[in-house]
Amino acid sequence: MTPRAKGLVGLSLLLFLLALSALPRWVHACPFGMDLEFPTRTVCERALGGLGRSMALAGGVAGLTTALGILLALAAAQAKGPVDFAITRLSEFFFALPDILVLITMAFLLKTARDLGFMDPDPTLAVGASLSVIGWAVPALMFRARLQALGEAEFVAASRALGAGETWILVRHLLPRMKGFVLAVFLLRVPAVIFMESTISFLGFGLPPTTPSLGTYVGSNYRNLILGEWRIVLPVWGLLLLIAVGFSLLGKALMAGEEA
Amino acid sequence: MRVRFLRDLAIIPIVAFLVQALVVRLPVPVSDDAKRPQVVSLQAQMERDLGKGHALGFLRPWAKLARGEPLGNDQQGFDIRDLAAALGSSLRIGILGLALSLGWAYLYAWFRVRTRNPLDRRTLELLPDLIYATPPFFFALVLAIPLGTHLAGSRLPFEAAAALATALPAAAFFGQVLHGALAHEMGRPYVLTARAKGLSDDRVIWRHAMPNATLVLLDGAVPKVTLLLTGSFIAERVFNIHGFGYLYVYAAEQRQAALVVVGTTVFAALLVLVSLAAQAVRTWLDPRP
Repeated sequence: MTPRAKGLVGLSLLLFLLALSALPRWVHACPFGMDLEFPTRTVCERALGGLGRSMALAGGVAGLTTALGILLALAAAQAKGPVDFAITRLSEFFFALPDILVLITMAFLLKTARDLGFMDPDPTLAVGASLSVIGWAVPALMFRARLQALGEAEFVAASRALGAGETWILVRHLLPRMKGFVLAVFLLRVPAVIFMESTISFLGFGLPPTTPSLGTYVGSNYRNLILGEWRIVLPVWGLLLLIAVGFSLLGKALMAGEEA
Repeated sequence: MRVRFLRDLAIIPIVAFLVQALVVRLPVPVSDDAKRPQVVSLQAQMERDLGKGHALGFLRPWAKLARGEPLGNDQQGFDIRDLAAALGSSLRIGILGLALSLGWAYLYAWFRVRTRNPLDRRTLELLPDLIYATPPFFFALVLAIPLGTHLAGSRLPFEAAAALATALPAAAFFGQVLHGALAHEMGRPYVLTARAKGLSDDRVIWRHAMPNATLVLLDGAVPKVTLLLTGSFIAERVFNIHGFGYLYVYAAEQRQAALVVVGTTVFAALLVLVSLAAQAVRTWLDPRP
Protein backbone atom coordinates (compact mmCIF):
# COMPACT_ATOMS: atom_id res chain seq x y z
CA MET A 1 0.00 0.00 0.00
CA THR A 2 1.41 3.42 -0.94
CA PRO A 3 1.74 6.11 1.76
CA ARG A 4 -1.01 8.12 0.01
CA ALA A 5 -3.42 5.17 0.08
CA LYS A 6 -2.53 4.49 3.73
CA GLY A 7 -3.23 8.11 4.56
CA LEU A 8 -6.58 8.08 2.81
CA VAL A 9 -7.70 4.85 4.49
CA GLY A 10 -6.55 6.18 7.88
CA LEU A 11 -8.33 9.50 7.38
CA SER A 12 -11.55 7.75 6.27
CA LEU A 13 -11.46 5.53 9.36
CA LEU A 14 -10.97 8.51 11.66
CA LEU A 15 -13.80 10.47 10.03
CA PHE A 16 -16.02 7.41 10.39
CA LEU A 17 -15.10 7.17 14.10
CA LEU A 18 -15.74 10.89 14.62
CA ALA A 19 -19.17 10.51 13.01
CA LEU A 20 -19.88 7.51 15.25
CA SER A 21 -18.84 9.34 18.41
CA ALA A 22 -21.03 12.30 17.50
CA LEU A 23 -24.10 10.15 16.81
CA PRO A 24 -24.42 7.56 19.59
CA ARG A 25 -28.20 7.97 19.79
CA TRP A 26 -29.08 6.28 16.49
CA VAL A 27 -27.81 2.92 17.66
CA HIS A 28 -30.87 1.79 19.63
CA ALA A 29 -31.11 -1.28 17.41
CA CYS A 30 -27.81 -2.83 18.45
CA PRO A 31 -26.88 -6.36 17.28
CA PHE A 32 -25.09 -6.97 20.60
CA GLY A 33 -28.22 -6.44 22.69
CA MET A 34 -28.78 -4.59 25.95
CA ASP A 35 -26.08 -3.69 28.44
CA LEU A 36 -26.16 -5.74 31.66
CA GLU A 37 -25.08 -2.95 34.02
CA PHE A 38 -27.44 -0.34 32.53
CA PRO A 39 -30.31 -2.45 31.18
CA THR A 40 -32.12 0.53 29.64
CA ARG A 41 -29.25 1.17 27.20
CA THR A 42 -27.77 -0.93 24.40
CA VAL A 43 -24.18 -2.15 24.30
CA CYS A 44 -23.54 0.01 21.20
CA GLU A 45 -24.91 3.12 22.91
CA ARG A 46 -22.64 2.67 25.92
CA ALA A 47 -19.57 1.84 23.84
CA LEU A 48 -20.09 4.80 21.48
CA GLY A 49 -20.92 7.08 24.41
CA GLY A 50 -17.46 6.34 25.79
CA LEU A 51 -15.76 6.74 22.43
CA GLY A 52 -16.26 10.52 22.24
CA ARG A 53 -14.85 11.21 25.71
CA SER A 54 -11.91 8.82 25.22
CA MET A 55 -11.02 10.48 21.90
CA ALA A 56 -11.39 14.02 23.25
CA LEU A 57 -9.24 13.21 26.29
CA ALA A 58 -6.63 11.45 24.17
CA GLY A 59 -6.55 14.31 21.65
CA GLY A 60 -5.98 16.84 24.43
CA VAL A 61 -3.27 14.80 26.14
CA ALA A 62 -1.54 13.93 22.86
CA GLY A 63 -1.62 17.61 21.84
CA LEU A 64 -0.21 18.75 25.18
CA THR A 65 2.54 16.12 25.32
CA THR A 66 3.49 16.71 21.67
CA ALA A 67 3.74 20.48 22.33
CA LEU A 68 5.80 19.86 25.46
CA GLY A 69 8.00 17.42 23.56
CA ILE A 70 8.78 19.84 20.74
CA LEU A 71 9.44 22.71 23.18
CA LEU A 72 11.88 20.58 25.19
CA ALA A 73 13.57 19.27 22.04
CA LEU A 74 13.96 22.84 20.73
CA ALA A 75 15.34 23.96 24.10
CA ALA A 76 17.81 21.06 24.05
CA ALA A 77 18.85 21.81 20.44
CA GLN A 78 19.23 25.52 21.16
CA ALA A 79 21.05 25.35 24.50
CA LYS A 80 23.13 22.21 23.83
CA GLY A 81 25.68 21.15 26.51
CA PRO A 82 24.36 20.52 30.04
CA VAL A 83 20.77 21.56 29.23
CA ASP A 84 20.62 19.09 26.33
CA PHE A 85 22.15 16.40 28.56
CA ALA A 86 19.67 17.08 31.38
CA ILE A 87 16.61 17.08 29.09
CA THR A 88 17.71 13.89 27.35
CA ARG A 89 18.49 12.00 30.57
CA LEU A 90 15.21 13.13 32.16
CA SER A 91 13.29 12.02 29.06
CA GLU A 92 15.07 8.65 29.06
CA PHE A 93 14.31 8.21 32.77
CA PHE A 94 10.59 8.86 32.24
CA PHE A 95 10.59 6.66 29.13
CA ALA A 96 12.03 3.75 31.14
CA LEU A 97 9.45 4.02 33.96
CA PRO A 98 6.57 1.53 33.77
CA ASP A 99 3.61 3.74 32.76
CA ILE A 100 0.98 1.88 34.75
CA LEU A 101 3.06 2.03 37.93
CA VAL A 102 3.47 5.81 37.61
CA LEU A 103 -0.21 6.30 36.82
CA ILE A 104 -1.31 4.23 39.83
CA THR A 105 1.10 6.13 42.09
CA MET A 106 -0.26 9.44 40.78
CA ALA A 107 -3.84 8.26 41.23
CA PHE A 108 -2.93 7.31 44.82
CA LEU A 109 -1.43 10.78 45.44
CA LEU A 110 -4.49 12.51 43.95
CA LYS A 111 -6.89 10.36 46.00
CA THR A 112 -4.88 11.09 49.15
CA ALA A 113 -4.87 14.81 48.36
CA ARG A 114 -8.63 14.63 47.85
CA ASP A 115 -9.14 12.75 51.13
CA LEU A 116 -7.08 15.35 52.95
CA GLY A 117 -9.17 18.13 51.41
CA PHE A 118 -6.10 19.68 49.82
CA MET A 119 -7.59 19.65 46.32
CA ASP A 120 -10.56 18.18 44.48
CA PRO A 121 -9.65 18.17 40.80
CA ASP A 122 -12.09 17.25 38.05
CA PRO A 123 -11.52 13.49 37.40
CA THR A 124 -11.11 13.94 33.64
CA LEU A 125 -8.57 16.73 34.15
CA ALA A 126 -6.74 14.70 36.80
CA VAL A 127 -6.47 11.69 34.47
CA GLY A 128 -5.39 13.99 31.63
CA ALA A 129 -2.68 15.54 33.81
CA SER A 130 -1.44 12.09 34.93
CA LEU A 131 -1.31 10.84 31.33
CA SER A 132 0.55 14.00 30.30
CA VAL A 133 3.18 13.51 33.02
CA ILE A 134 4.15 10.11 31.60
CA GLY A 135 3.47 10.94 27.94
CA TRP A 136 5.90 13.76 27.12
CA ALA A 137 9.09 11.70 27.15
CA VAL A 138 8.52 9.73 23.92
CA PRO A 139 7.75 12.82 21.74
CA ALA A 140 10.65 14.73 23.31
CA LEU A 141 13.11 11.93 22.48
CA MET A 142 11.71 11.52 18.95
CA PHE A 143 11.86 15.27 18.20
CA ARG A 144 15.37 15.58 19.62
CA ALA A 145 16.58 12.72 17.43
CA ARG A 146 14.88 14.28 14.38
CA LEU A 147 16.34 17.72 15.07
CA GLN A 148 19.80 16.18 15.49
CA ALA A 149 19.47 14.36 12.16
CA LEU A 150 18.25 17.53 10.39
CA GLY A 151 21.02 19.56 12.03
CA GLU A 152 23.61 17.46 10.19
CA ALA A 153 22.06 18.17 6.75
CA GLU A 154 23.98 20.07 4.07
CA PHE A 155 21.56 22.99 3.90
CA VAL A 156 22.20 23.67 7.61
CA ALA A 157 25.97 23.63 7.05
CA ALA A 158 25.49 26.01 4.09
CA SER A 159 23.34 28.36 6.15
CA ARG A 160 25.90 28.30 8.96
CA ALA A 161 28.69 29.04 6.46
CA LEU A 162 26.70 32.07 5.28
CA GLY A 163 26.77 33.40 8.84
CA ALA A 164 23.37 32.35 10.17
CA GLY A 165 23.06 31.97 13.94
CA GLU A 166 21.79 28.86 15.72
CA THR A 167 18.40 30.44 16.59
CA TRP A 168 17.89 31.57 12.98
CA ILE A 169 18.70 28.08 11.69
CA LEU A 170 16.35 26.54 14.22
CA VAL A 171 13.42 28.85 13.49
CA ARG A 172 13.84 29.39 9.75
CA HIS A 173 15.20 26.05 8.55
CA LEU A 174 14.61 23.25 11.04
CA LEU A 175 11.21 24.08 12.54
CA PRO A 176 9.34 24.35 9.19
CA ARG A 177 10.72 20.93 8.22
CA MET A 178 9.39 19.42 11.46
CA LYS A 179 5.71 20.26 10.84
CA GLY A 180 4.72 16.96 9.19
CA PHE A 181 6.77 14.94 11.66
CA VAL A 182 5.17 16.72 14.63
CA LEU A 183 1.70 15.99 13.25
CA ALA A 184 2.65 12.34 12.66
CA VAL A 185 3.94 11.96 16.22
CA PHE A 186 0.74 13.58 17.54
CA LEU A 187 -1.38 11.13 15.54
CA LEU A 188 0.62 8.14 16.75
CA ARG A 189 0.31 9.31 20.37
CA VAL A 190 -3.52 9.48 20.31
CA PRO A 191 -4.18 5.70 20.29
CA ALA A 192 -1.41 5.15 22.83
CA VAL A 193 -3.16 7.57 25.20
CA ILE A 194 -6.58 5.97 24.56
CA PHE A 195 -5.13 2.54 25.40
CA MET A 196 -3.47 3.82 28.55
CA GLU A 197 -6.62 5.64 29.67
CA SER A 198 -8.78 2.59 29.04
CA THR A 199 -6.28 0.38 30.91
CA ILE A 200 -6.14 2.53 34.06
CA SER A 201 -9.89 3.14 33.97
CA PHE A 202 -10.34 -0.62 33.71
CA LEU A 203 -8.13 -1.02 36.82
CA GLY A 204 -10.23 1.58 38.64
CA PHE A 205 -7.61 4.35 38.77
CA GLY A 206 -8.78 6.41 35.82
CA LEU A 207 -12.12 8.01 35.22
CA PRO A 208 -14.92 7.28 37.71
CA PRO A 209 -17.25 4.40 36.72
CA THR A 210 -20.10 6.86 36.12
CA THR A 211 -18.07 8.77 33.49
CA PRO A 212 -18.47 7.13 30.07
CA SER A 213 -15.23 6.03 28.42
CA LEU A 214 -14.11 2.85 26.68
CA GLY A 215 -12.10 1.76 29.74
CA THR A 216 -14.80 2.46 32.34
CA TYR A 217 -17.32 0.64 30.15
CA VAL A 218 -15.24 -2.55 30.04
CA GLY A 219 -14.25 -2.13 33.70
CA SER A 220 -17.86 -1.81 34.86
CA ASN A 221 -18.77 -4.94 32.89
CA TYR A 222 -15.77 -6.94 34.10
CA ARG A 223 -17.79 -9.50 36.12
CA ASN A 224 -20.13 -10.10 33.18
CA LEU A 225 -17.15 -10.65 30.87
CA ILE A 226 -15.68 -13.28 33.17
CA LEU A 227 -19.04 -15.04 33.05
CA GLY A 228 -18.67 -15.35 29.29
CA GLU A 229 -20.62 -12.34 27.98
CA TRP A 230 -18.38 -11.85 24.92
CA ARG A 231 -20.87 -9.64 23.13
CA ILE A 232 -20.19 -6.83 25.62
CA VAL A 233 -16.50 -6.58 24.78
CA LEU A 234 -16.75 -6.95 20.99
CA PRO A 235 -17.89 -3.40 20.04
CA VAL A 236 -15.24 -1.81 22.29
CA TRP A 237 -12.51 -4.04 20.87
CA GLY A 238 -13.69 -3.19 17.36
CA LEU A 239 -13.64 0.54 18.12
CA LEU A 240 -10.17 0.36 19.71
CA LEU A 241 -8.93 -1.60 16.70
CA LEU A 242 -10.32 1.02 14.30
CA ILE A 243 -8.81 3.85 16.37
CA ALA A 244 -5.38 2.22 16.45
CA VAL A 245 -5.42 1.31 12.74
CA GLY A 246 -6.80 4.72 11.63
CA PHE A 247 -4.33 6.84 13.59
CA SER A 248 -1.45 4.50 12.86
CA LEU A 249 -2.05 4.50 9.07
CA LEU A 250 -2.39 8.28 8.93
CA GLY A 251 0.66 8.82 11.15
CA LYS A 252 2.79 6.38 9.15
CA ALA A 253 1.70 7.97 5.86
CA LEU A 254 2.78 11.38 7.14
CA MET A 255 6.09 9.97 8.42
CA ALA A 256 6.74 8.34 5.04
CA GLY A 257 5.93 11.64 3.31
CA GLU A 258 8.42 13.43 5.56
CA GLU A 259 11.19 10.93 4.92
CA ALA A 260 10.64 10.91 1.14
CA MET B 1 30.75 1.39 33.67
CA ARG B 2 31.20 1.97 37.42
CA VAL B 3 29.81 5.54 37.13
CA ARG B 4 26.77 4.24 35.28
CA PHE B 5 26.30 1.48 37.85
CA LEU B 6 26.38 4.00 40.72
CA ARG B 7 24.10 6.39 38.82
CA ASP B 8 21.59 3.59 38.21
CA LEU B 9 21.81 2.46 41.81
CA ALA B 10 21.12 6.00 43.08
CA ILE B 11 17.67 5.89 41.43
CA ILE B 12 16.35 3.52 44.14
CA PRO B 13 16.64 5.85 47.19
CA ILE B 14 15.74 8.89 45.05
CA VAL B 15 12.44 7.32 43.93
CA ALA B 16 11.65 6.15 47.47
CA PHE B 17 12.42 9.58 48.91
CA LEU B 18 10.36 11.40 46.26
CA VAL B 19 7.26 9.24 46.79
CA GLN B 20 7.54 9.56 50.56
CA ALA B 21 8.09 13.33 50.32
CA LEU B 22 5.10 13.75 48.00
CA VAL B 23 2.85 11.71 50.26
CA VAL B 24 3.89 13.23 53.57
CA ARG B 25 4.25 16.85 52.57
CA LEU B 26 0.70 17.33 51.34
CA PRO B 27 -0.67 20.33 53.27
CA VAL B 28 -3.67 19.61 55.48
CA PRO B 29 -6.55 22.12 55.72
CA VAL B 30 -8.43 22.73 58.91
CA SER B 31 -11.48 24.51 57.49
CA ASP B 32 -13.66 21.49 56.60
CA ASP B 33 -15.09 20.13 59.88
CA ALA B 34 -16.82 17.18 58.20
CA LYS B 35 -13.55 15.87 56.86
CA ARG B 36 -11.53 16.56 60.00
CA PRO B 37 -11.75 13.05 61.60
CA GLN B 38 -10.78 11.37 58.31
CA VAL B 39 -7.93 13.83 57.77
CA VAL B 40 -6.63 13.40 61.31
CA SER B 41 -6.75 9.60 61.02
CA LEU B 42 -4.99 9.59 57.62
CA GLN B 43 -2.38 12.07 58.85
CA ALA B 44 -1.72 10.01 61.99
CA GLN B 45 -1.31 6.87 59.89
CA MET B 46 1.16 8.56 57.54
CA GLU B 47 3.09 10.07 60.44
CA ARG B 48 3.30 6.66 62.11
CA ASP B 49 4.34 4.88 58.89
CA LEU B 50 6.61 7.44 57.24
CA GLY B 51 7.38 10.11 59.85
CA LYS B 52 6.52 13.71 59.00
CA GLY B 53 9.57 15.89 58.47
CA HIS B 54 12.02 12.96 58.50
CA ALA B 55 14.17 12.93 55.35
CA LEU B 56 14.79 9.20 55.78
CA GLY B 57 11.15 8.42 56.54
CA PHE B 58 11.01 6.10 53.54
CA LEU B 59 13.22 3.69 55.51
CA ARG B 60 10.67 3.36 58.32
CA PRO B 61 8.48 0.77 56.57
CA TRP B 62 11.59 -1.29 55.83
CA ALA B 63 12.69 -1.11 59.46
CA LYS B 64 9.22 -2.25 60.47
CA LEU B 65 9.39 -5.18 58.06
CA ALA B 66 12.86 -6.09 59.35
CA ARG B 67 11.45 -6.26 62.90
CA GLY B 68 8.86 -8.73 61.60
CA GLU B 69 5.96 -6.28 61.99
CA PRO B 70 3.28 -6.08 59.30
CA LEU B 71 2.52 -3.06 57.12
CA GLY B 72 -1.04 -2.05 56.36
CA ASN B 73 -4.05 -1.32 58.50
CA ASP B 74 -5.93 -3.11 61.29
CA GLN B 75 -8.03 -5.07 58.80
CA GLN B 76 -5.20 -6.47 56.70
CA GLY B 77 -1.46 -6.45 57.32
CA PHE B 78 1.41 -7.69 55.17
CA ASP B 79 4.68 -8.85 56.73
CA ILE B 80 7.94 -9.54 54.95
CA ARG B 81 6.92 -13.14 54.15
CA ASP B 82 3.67 -11.97 52.50
CA LEU B 83 5.58 -9.41 50.44
CA ALA B 84 8.22 -11.97 49.43
CA ALA B 85 5.50 -14.44 48.38
CA ALA B 86 3.73 -11.74 46.35
CA LEU B 87 6.97 -10.67 44.69
CA GLY B 88 7.84 -14.30 43.97
CA SER B 89 4.48 -14.80 42.28
CA SER B 90 4.93 -11.69 40.10
CA LEU B 91 8.49 -12.66 39.20
CA ARG B 92 7.35 -16.18 38.22
CA ILE B 93 4.76 -14.64 35.90
CA GLY B 94 7.27 -12.10 34.57
CA ILE B 95 10.04 -14.62 33.92
CA LEU B 96 7.65 -17.03 32.21
CA GLY B 97 6.28 -14.08 30.19
CA LEU B 98 9.81 -13.06 29.25
CA ALA B 99 10.67 -16.60 28.14
CA LEU B 100 7.47 -16.82 26.07
CA SER B 101 7.99 -13.42 24.43
CA LEU B 102 11.65 -14.08 23.63
CA GLY B 103 10.81 -17.53 22.26
CA TRP B 104 8.14 -15.99 20.06
CA ALA B 105 10.50 -13.20 18.95
CA TYR B 106 13.24 -15.61 17.80
CA LEU B 107 10.76 -17.85 15.97
CA TYR B 108 9.01 -14.85 14.40
CA ALA B 109 12.25 -13.25 13.19
CA TRP B 110 13.60 -16.57 11.87
CA PHE B 111 10.39 -17.52 10.05
CA ARG B 112 9.87 -14.04 8.61
CA VAL B 113 13.40 -13.99 7.19
CA ARG B 114 13.15 -17.58 5.90
CA THR B 115 9.70 -17.61 4.32
CA ARG B 116 9.25 -16.85 0.64
CA ASN B 117 5.46 -17.21 0.67
CA PRO B 118 3.86 -13.74 0.11
CA LEU B 119 0.77 -14.67 2.18
CA ASP B 120 2.91 -15.77 5.14
CA ARG B 121 4.95 -12.59 4.88
CA ARG B 122 1.85 -10.39 4.81
CA THR B 123 0.31 -12.23 7.77
CA LEU B 124 3.53 -11.98 9.77
CA GLU B 125 3.73 -8.27 8.97
CA LEU B 126 0.16 -7.66 10.14
CA LEU B 127 0.32 -9.78 13.30
CA PRO B 128 2.27 -7.28 15.48
CA ASP B 129 0.02 -4.44 14.28
CA LEU B 130 -3.02 -6.43 15.37
CA ILE B 131 -1.46 -7.00 18.80
CA TYR B 132 -0.50 -3.30 19.13
CA ALA B 133 -4.07 -2.36 18.19
CA THR B 134 -5.46 -4.28 21.17
CA PRO B 135 -5.17 -2.93 24.73
CA PRO B 136 -3.21 -5.32 26.99
CA PHE B 137 -6.14 -5.97 29.34
CA PHE B 138 -8.13 -7.49 26.46
CA PHE B 139 -5.68 -10.39 26.18
CA ALA B 140 -6.11 -11.09 29.89
CA LEU B 141 -9.89 -10.89 29.56
CA VAL B 142 -9.99 -13.18 26.54
CA LEU B 143 -7.89 -15.78 28.39
CA ALA B 144 -9.84 -15.29 31.63
CA ILE B 145 -13.21 -16.12 30.12
CA PRO B 146 -12.51 -19.86 29.50
CA LEU B 147 -10.37 -20.16 32.64
CA GLY B 148 -12.95 -18.46 34.82
CA THR B 149 -15.68 -20.80 33.69
CA HIS B 150 -13.76 -24.11 33.51
CA LEU B 151 -10.67 -24.07 35.74
CA ALA B 152 -11.67 -22.22 38.90
CA GLY B 153 -9.67 -23.26 41.95
CA SER B 154 -6.39 -24.22 40.25
CA ARG B 155 -3.55 -21.67 40.48
CA LEU B 156 -1.06 -22.83 37.85
CA PRO B 157 -3.22 -22.32 34.73
CA PHE B 158 -4.02 -18.81 35.95
CA GLU B 159 -0.34 -17.91 36.40
CA ALA B 160 0.47 -19.37 32.96
CA ALA B 161 -2.43 -17.43 31.41
CA ALA B 162 -1.29 -14.24 33.20
CA ALA B 163 2.22 -14.79 31.81
CA LEU B 164 0.82 -15.29 28.31
CA ALA B 165 -1.39 -12.18 28.53
CA THR B 166 1.55 -10.11 29.80
CA ALA B 167 3.90 -11.55 27.19
CA LEU B 168 1.87 -10.83 24.04
CA PRO B 169 2.55 -7.05 23.64
CA ALA B 170 6.23 -7.53 24.52
CA ALA B 171 6.47 -10.49 22.12
CA ALA B 172 5.17 -8.36 19.24
CA PHE B 173 7.72 -5.64 20.03
CA PHE B 174 10.67 -8.02 20.50
CA GLY B 175 9.73 -9.87 17.30
CA GLN B 176 9.67 -6.70 15.22
CA VAL B 177 12.93 -5.38 16.66
CA LEU B 178 14.69 -8.73 16.20
CA HIS B 179 13.36 -9.17 12.67
CA GLY B 180 14.55 -5.68 11.69
CA ALA B 181 18.01 -6.38 13.08
CA LEU B 182 18.16 -9.87 11.54
CA ALA B 183 17.09 -8.61 8.11
CA HIS B 184 19.87 -6.01 8.32
CA GLU B 185 22.43 -8.64 9.34
CA MET B 186 21.37 -10.96 6.49
CA GLY B 187 22.48 -8.35 3.96
CA ARG B 188 25.98 -7.96 5.39
CA PRO B 189 29.13 -9.35 3.72
CA TYR B 190 29.91 -12.01 6.35
CA VAL B 191 26.55 -13.63 5.66
CA LEU B 192 27.27 -13.72 1.92
CA THR B 193 30.68 -15.23 2.68
CA ALA B 194 29.14 -17.90 4.92
CA ARG B 195 26.58 -18.74 2.22
CA ALA B 196 29.30 -18.84 -0.45
CA LYS B 197 31.15 -21.39 1.68
CA GLY B 198 28.10 -23.64 1.46
CA LEU B 199 26.40 -23.16 4.83
CA SER B 200 22.65 -23.73 4.93
CA ASP B 201 20.29 -20.79 5.48
CA ASP B 202 19.37 -22.00 8.96
CA ARG B 203 23.01 -22.48 9.95
CA VAL B 204 23.83 -18.96 8.73
CA ILE B 205 20.90 -17.47 10.63
CA TRP B 206 21.30 -19.28 13.96
CA ARG B 207 25.12 -19.52 14.07
CA HIS B 208 26.10 -16.14 12.60
CA ALA B 209 23.35 -13.56 12.07
CA MET B 210 21.06 -14.14 15.06
CA PRO B 211 23.73 -13.57 17.79
CA ASN B 212 24.56 -10.20 16.20
CA ALA B 213 20.88 -9.26 15.87
CA THR B 214 20.40 -10.16 19.54
CA LEU B 215 22.61 -7.20 20.52
CA VAL B 216 20.07 -4.79 18.98
CA LEU B 217 17.28 -6.59 20.85
CA LEU B 218 19.15 -6.09 24.14
CA ASP B 219 19.57 -2.35 23.48
CA GLY B 220 15.91 -1.75 22.72
CA ALA B 221 14.24 -4.19 25.06
CA VAL B 222 15.18 -3.07 28.58
CA PRO B 223 12.05 -0.95 29.22
CA LYS B 224 9.84 -3.77 27.90
CA VAL B 225 11.62 -6.36 30.06
CA THR B 226 11.00 -4.17 33.11
CA LEU B 227 7.37 -3.90 32.11
CA LEU B 228 7.14 -7.68 31.90
CA LEU B 229 8.76 -8.23 35.26
CA THR B 230 6.94 -5.50 37.12
CA GLY B 231 3.86 -4.76 35.11
CA SER B 232 1.64 -7.75 35.50
CA PHE B 233 -0.86 -5.47 37.30
CA ILE B 234 -3.64 -6.08 34.83
CA ALA B 235 -3.22 -9.83 34.53
CA GLU B 236 -2.93 -10.27 38.30
CA ARG B 237 -6.08 -8.22 38.74
CA VAL B 238 -8.05 -10.11 36.08
CA PHE B 239 -6.89 -13.57 37.23
CA ASN B 240 -7.12 -12.65 40.93
CA ILE B 241 -3.48 -13.63 41.54
CA HIS B 242 -2.15 -12.08 44.75
CA GLY B 243 1.19 -10.98 43.31
CA PHE B 244 3.10 -7.77 43.86
CA GLY B 245 1.11 -5.87 41.23
CA TYR B 246 -2.15 -6.90 42.92
CA LEU B 247 -0.71 -5.80 46.28
CA TYR B 248 0.37 -2.45 44.85
CA VAL B 249 -3.07 -1.80 43.37
CA TYR B 250 -4.63 -2.74 46.74
CA ALA B 251 -2.24 -0.41 48.60
CA ALA B 252 -3.04 2.51 46.29
CA GLU B 253 -6.80 1.85 46.55
CA GLN B 254 -6.68 1.64 50.37
CA ARG B 255 -4.29 4.67 50.75
CA GLN B 256 -1.63 2.49 52.42
CA ALA B 257 1.25 4.97 52.12
CA ALA B 258 3.89 2.66 53.64
CA LEU B 259 3.00 -0.15 51.24
CA VAL B 260 3.06 2.26 48.28
CA VAL B 261 6.54 3.49 49.27
CA VAL B 262 7.82 -0.09 49.72
CA GLY B 263 6.22 -1.18 46.43
CA THR B 264 7.64 1.77 44.48
CA THR B 265 11.11 1.14 45.94
CA VAL B 266 10.96 -2.54 44.96
CA PHE B 267 9.85 -1.65 41.42
CA ALA B 268 12.66 0.94 41.14
CA ALA B 269 15.13 -1.71 42.35
CA LEU B 270 13.82 -4.18 39.75
CA LEU B 271 14.14 -1.51 37.05
CA VAL B 272 17.78 -0.98 38.00
CA LEU B 273 18.53 -4.71 38.31
CA VAL B 274 17.06 -5.44 34.88
CA SER B 275 19.02 -2.56 33.35
CA LEU B 276 22.26 -3.77 34.96
CA ALA B 277 21.60 -7.38 33.93
CA ALA B 278 20.99 -6.25 30.33
CA GLN B 279 24.27 -4.28 30.38
CA ALA B 280 26.12 -7.32 31.76
CA VAL B 281 24.65 -9.66 29.12
CA ARG B 282 25.49 -7.15 26.41
CA THR B 283 29.09 -6.85 27.61
CA TRP B 284 29.33 -10.65 27.75
CA LEU B 285 27.96 -11.06 24.21
CA ASP B 286 29.93 -8.16 22.73
CA PRO B 287 33.03 -7.34 24.79
CA ARG B 288 34.12 -4.55 22.39
CA PRO B 289 34.33 -1.23 24.33
